[in-house]
Amino acid sequence: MSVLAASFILFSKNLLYCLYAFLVVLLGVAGVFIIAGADFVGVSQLMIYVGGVLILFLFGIMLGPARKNRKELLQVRSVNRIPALLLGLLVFICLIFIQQSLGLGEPMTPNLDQNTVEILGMSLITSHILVLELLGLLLLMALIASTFLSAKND
Amino acid sequence: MIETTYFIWFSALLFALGLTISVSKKNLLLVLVGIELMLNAANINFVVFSHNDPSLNGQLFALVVMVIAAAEVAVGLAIIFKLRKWYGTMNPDKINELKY
Repeated sequence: MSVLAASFILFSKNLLYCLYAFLVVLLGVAGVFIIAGADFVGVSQLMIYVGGVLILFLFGIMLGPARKNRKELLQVRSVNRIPALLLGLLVFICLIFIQQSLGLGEPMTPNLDQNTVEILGMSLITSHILVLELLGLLLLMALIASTFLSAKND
Repeated sequence: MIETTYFIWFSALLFALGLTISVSKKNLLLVLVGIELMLNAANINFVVFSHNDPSLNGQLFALVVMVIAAAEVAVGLAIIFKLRKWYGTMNPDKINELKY
């Protein structure tokens, strides 16, 4: 389902339809995370991407300046379709080939008794605290930068 | 239980689609969407390979990648909307002047 939606992004012409298909892709990826045993990462995917990033995209489009060429802004043209498709196919085949040559086909053992939230939280505040601090600093920098860029200072 | 191979195929397909989107689309927003798809594919690999790891370093790294992607999208969208206001288009081929 997610792959279908992603290919719909590739072939669609309207920007809003592309973004709704992107929503479906993100929901599918969150489901894949939860199937793979990463509950916390799946829920954070839902909160960050679906709740944050996608809303940012959609509101950025909808609250954009209304102009005469608004239809033209929503149109999406794509060029170099055949070379891009060939490039994507080449990358896909290369990745599958690498995966086959590494022989990573072991079945996953179910470890449902593992409490991922507790382990992640404890390692974030004890052994990986530098990561947490750096991420906070990065988010602060991004906040200041995007506020400065979108302010009316020209 | 599901084999690791299917997850890796899914993430490879998602990565290839993201690369194709971000290369072929003539709209800066969809280029960002393609980059997000590629980051998601990388995240799936991290999560899948950390499944048998008791310390869950892969999931930690997936969280880091997610936060960095969110920051990148915030700054990128601010730049893109500024460009749209300035040039009136989001086609990266038409944005070809640096200074007025």
